Amino acid sequence: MSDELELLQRRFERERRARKQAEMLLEQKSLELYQSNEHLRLLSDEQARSLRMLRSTADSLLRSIGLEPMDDGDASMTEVLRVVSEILKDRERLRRDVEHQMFALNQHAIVSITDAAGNITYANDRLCEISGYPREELLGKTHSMLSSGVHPEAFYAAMWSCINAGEVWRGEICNRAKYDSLYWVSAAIVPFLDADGKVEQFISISTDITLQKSMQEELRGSRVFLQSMTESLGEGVYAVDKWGYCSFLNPEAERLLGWSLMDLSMTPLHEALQFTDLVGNPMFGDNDIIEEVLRDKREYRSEYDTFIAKDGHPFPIAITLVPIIEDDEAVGVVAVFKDITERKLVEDRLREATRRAEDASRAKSDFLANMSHEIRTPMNAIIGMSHLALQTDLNSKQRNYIEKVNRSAESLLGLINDILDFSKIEAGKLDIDAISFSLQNVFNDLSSVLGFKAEEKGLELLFDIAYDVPRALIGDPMRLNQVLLNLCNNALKFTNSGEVIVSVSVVQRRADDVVVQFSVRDSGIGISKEQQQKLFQSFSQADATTTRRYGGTGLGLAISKRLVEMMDGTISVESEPGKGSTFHVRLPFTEVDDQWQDEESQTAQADLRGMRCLLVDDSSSARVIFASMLETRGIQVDAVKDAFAATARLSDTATDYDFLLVDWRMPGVDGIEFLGGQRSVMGERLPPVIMTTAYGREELAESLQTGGIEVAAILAKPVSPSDLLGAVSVATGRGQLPQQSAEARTRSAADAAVTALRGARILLVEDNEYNQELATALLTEQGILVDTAGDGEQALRQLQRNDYDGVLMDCQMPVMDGYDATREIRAQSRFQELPIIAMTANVLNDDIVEALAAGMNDHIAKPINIRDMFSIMAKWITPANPIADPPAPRPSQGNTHRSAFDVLKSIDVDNGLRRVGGNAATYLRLLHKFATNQADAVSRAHDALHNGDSAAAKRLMHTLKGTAGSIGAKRLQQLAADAELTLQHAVSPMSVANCDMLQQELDCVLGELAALPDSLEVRPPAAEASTADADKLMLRLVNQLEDFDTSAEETIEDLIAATTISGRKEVLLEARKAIQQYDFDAARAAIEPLERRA
Amino acid sequence: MKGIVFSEFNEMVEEMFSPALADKIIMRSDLASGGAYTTVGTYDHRELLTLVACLSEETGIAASNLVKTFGRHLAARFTALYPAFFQGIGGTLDFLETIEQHVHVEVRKLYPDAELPTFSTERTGADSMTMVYRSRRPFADLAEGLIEGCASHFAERIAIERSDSAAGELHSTRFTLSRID
Repeated sequence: MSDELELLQRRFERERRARKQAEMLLEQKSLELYQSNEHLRLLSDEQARSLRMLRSTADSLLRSIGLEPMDDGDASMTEVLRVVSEILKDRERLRRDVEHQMFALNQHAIVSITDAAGNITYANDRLCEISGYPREELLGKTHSMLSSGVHPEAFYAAMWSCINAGEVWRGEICNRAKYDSLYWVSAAIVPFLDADGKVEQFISISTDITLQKSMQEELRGSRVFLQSMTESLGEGVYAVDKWGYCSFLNPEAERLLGWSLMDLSMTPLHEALQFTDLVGNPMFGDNDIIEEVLRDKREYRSEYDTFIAKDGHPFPIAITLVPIIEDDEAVGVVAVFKDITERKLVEDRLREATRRAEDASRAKSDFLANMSHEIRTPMNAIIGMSHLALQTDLNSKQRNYIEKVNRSAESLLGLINDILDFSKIEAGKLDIDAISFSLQNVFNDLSSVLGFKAEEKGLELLFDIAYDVPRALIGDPMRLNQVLLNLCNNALKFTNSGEVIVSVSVVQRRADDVVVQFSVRDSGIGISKEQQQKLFQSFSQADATTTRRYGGTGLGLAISKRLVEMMDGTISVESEPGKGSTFHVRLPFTEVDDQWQDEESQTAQADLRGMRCLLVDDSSSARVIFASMLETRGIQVDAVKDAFAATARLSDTATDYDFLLVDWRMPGVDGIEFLGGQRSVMGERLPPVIMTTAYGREELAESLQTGGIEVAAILAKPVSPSDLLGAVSVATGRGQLPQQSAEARTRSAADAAVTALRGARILLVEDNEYNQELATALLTEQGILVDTAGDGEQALRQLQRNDYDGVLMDCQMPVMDGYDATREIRAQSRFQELPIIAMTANVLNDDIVEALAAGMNDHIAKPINIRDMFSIMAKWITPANPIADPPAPRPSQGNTHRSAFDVLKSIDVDNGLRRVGGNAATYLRLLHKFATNQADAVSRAHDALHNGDSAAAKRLMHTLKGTAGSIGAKRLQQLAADAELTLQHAVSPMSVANCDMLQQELDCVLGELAALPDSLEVRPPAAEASTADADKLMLRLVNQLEDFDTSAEETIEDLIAATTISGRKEVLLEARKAIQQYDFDAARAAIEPLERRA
Repeated sequence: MKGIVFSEFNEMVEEMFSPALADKIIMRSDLASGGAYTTVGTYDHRELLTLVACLSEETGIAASNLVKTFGRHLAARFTALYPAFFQGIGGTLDFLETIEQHVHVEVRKLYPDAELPTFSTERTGADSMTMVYRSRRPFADLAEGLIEGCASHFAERIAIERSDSAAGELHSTRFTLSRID
């Protein structure tokens, strides 16, 4: 109970406190309220007072304009306001009316009022404005202050007498403004008379006519100007009316025509001048040019017309006739003409010069075409022969030389082709094809040509072909290839490190018409803005110093530009010096159904979706390109830039990769090292690997072998999508069998062609002896029987004697050329079906057309592309007696003789064989040469040291090291290297122990080599070898030795094999030794006795 | 915070629980005002938080729930005390839109020193709206209760979703309101 009381007590207490608080607040609010009321009362008083004042003001206003004041009763605030605003509105209206009238007057006229004494009492703004005097300066003065001095006194006197007489005066007055300028007014001065008829004041109302006055002045001036101009023009000017009568003739016209205006008053001018056109038709009378000009209201210009002067001499004129039009009506004609006798003469001379220049240019083109033919013929021999030479067993030095010859010849041919192309374009003889082709093939070709070059320079060459680029197009693949090849070659040439990327995308598509952009981007030296402008001109490289540094004709880009333009495309360049360049080529094509699809993209059918790839490549461009190639086929790609990131990805067991795509050369840890590491960590779990490389494919294969790493595929950059996807199929076992690379495909096609041709008998008609030999060698090597003829007549005779499966016909030959020969052959009915194939260094379309017209079946271009030659031949030629079996494999190419080397224990034979490309014969020769040359290497070094010539000793050891390495004598190589190192540092002379070890190893190797056979060739028994053969070989040997021809080595091998007579053989072995030491003279001397006996 | 909130809170506690509990939490809270509130006075808002916290402890009901309940109570009282604000207004969402433009303006006329939260509203449809409550005081629950109270005044069902965020002293809450037929 007490709790409750207490609670109530507390609540009551709180209520009381709250009430007190509330009362306090209330009191405070009451005070605020009182103060507010006071404030309001004051305001209201103030307002009432204001209203009263306002009303009384309004009342007085109303009274002042004669209205009733407001009724006291309803004079509310509103009423007051209404009245006041009405009064104001009325006033405003009146003011505006007056203002408008004033304005109108002031706009129109200059107004002044003067009193009887002539003092100005009023001047309007216009007067102030035109006179330049402010009003206060005018008022009270007389008009004489404006007097200009132009008018004589009499003028003013007359004016005054007129107005003083009470008449209105009108006239034009010239006044002078304050700042001395003159102005003209047309004035009316009106005298106002008072009641007595006396003049009270004058009102002058005038208008400004200064402009009209000055225009009149100008008009007169321009008339004078025109007159003097036509006089000094140096050209004849005349005007005729619409009937053709002359109305004006300037002095020059008078001079040229000999007529004066007076003479011409009776005859129409053009008739007097016998005006005729180019072909002598009169331009007057029935065919009146004036009538025509007037009718059409159009100018007539000509430089082919003729006038006859008064004295009767005709002269060529350049003339312009212009109608004179007044108010839309032609009233006459004005003519300007001049005598162009001189100019016609100059023109004739120019035309003659141009014709001569064109003739010269045509002659130049013809000359170039002929020259190129003349050059290509021997080039054919050089390229072909060096090709053949490279197929033979050469030592590395020889191979090097011949490769250089071959490459130089190829590049010389490229140059000649450039020049030929250029002259063809210049001569308008180049045609653009429109055939369907596979873009992929173009890029395959590009890749096979450029891949090697990029590899040599250590550059990455990448192709980035957008997914939507059609695979099959109609256009000119050869020219496209030429342009791309040129741009890529340039890019490679001018780039020292980094990459060259060729990207292809569709920039425009309408139905089947596509515009494809090819961009070639390099990271090379770049081209400055100024240089870019000159870039596509003929014979111009970016600058002259570039030519010296990088070589080239400077024709490439000019040719590319012309070709692109001929294909209706555009070419452009973006570049910044030091940062590289990008060339863009845009070309229109027509898309067609992909006829290559089946043969080319079997893997395209393979379902690779859902696979996962780890891509490791340090080039970001390569990552982007590979990833996009894979991703378009639904492969999920994780791309990383180095081996560290790749290791991290692989150690993440959550992700299983179906395959790895790994670049070889990467900074830090390279691809092989990375794979080696992963192999040891992951073992069999390591997914299949595809390796890519921009550097030597063979080298990579070797490094992989050394590292003991197996990969599913090696791809050399640039990699085409089909190659990559093919490799993926192989690596993962998904999809179809891998397609062959384009190169392999062509190769196998060529092989098939070769097989089909085997046993064929061919007549080769060719006047050039070298080319005869070359073609014969190429053909017989493949089991084709060849007879030769030196000209058309010989060929006809040969055809009478033998049956041939086909004829290869050179076109340009002495006595009877290929065209005539073919026509003769075809004239005989039994040769209607004989395949005849033209071989010519002329690659102009005209030549091909002529060859076909003469009855030839096809055409092989020289220099000969061997694959093309066989496939074209196979297309037409079927052997009557085919040989089913391929020719016996060349002994050097098999490993059949591997066992011959079994005696070699100190030598790694496999390694040695690999170094000579598996050629056992070469290897054997190398081994013999080693035995001959290096037997005394150690003792010679010893002697040299003894004589204090450590440099010579070092050189000997260096050579020993190299040659030992090249035959695979690894331990010997190592020991020689140690010796060389010791000598190099010259720390101590070669220790006896070292020396002994080296000598021992050398002896050991030499001992084994001594057990080798002299030759591997399995020769027919000597008895069967005819003496004739031996004689022939001997003759060849002698010639070769005299020419210092290294193939003597091969010949003597053959000779040794064919010789059974013992004394003779010993001599030959002696000679061989000399040849192997390149002592050709000694060899020549050694065989001399044999030669005499033969 | 205006005294009406405090006195209404005490009213609610006395009504809903008991005068003794109301007395008890006032005693326990040891307030500067001593718990004597007059509707026209102004008091520290923390006193209300203290009172709510004490009530929560005494009742075991979550403070937020209590505050929300108080909001509903307050809404009912406002409709009774200030019917003018609610006249001619069709529903809850319409009313909420008038708070900033109308109710708060009137409140400020009477109490220039009143520190009011802001309610920015945006109609997202005929029957839906987002309303963002911003205040230096953590009374989003009170706002929610007030919205509910309004809804029951207009005999409507309003679905309320809210998301709170606080940055420094400023509390803001986004209410997503939609009327359910």
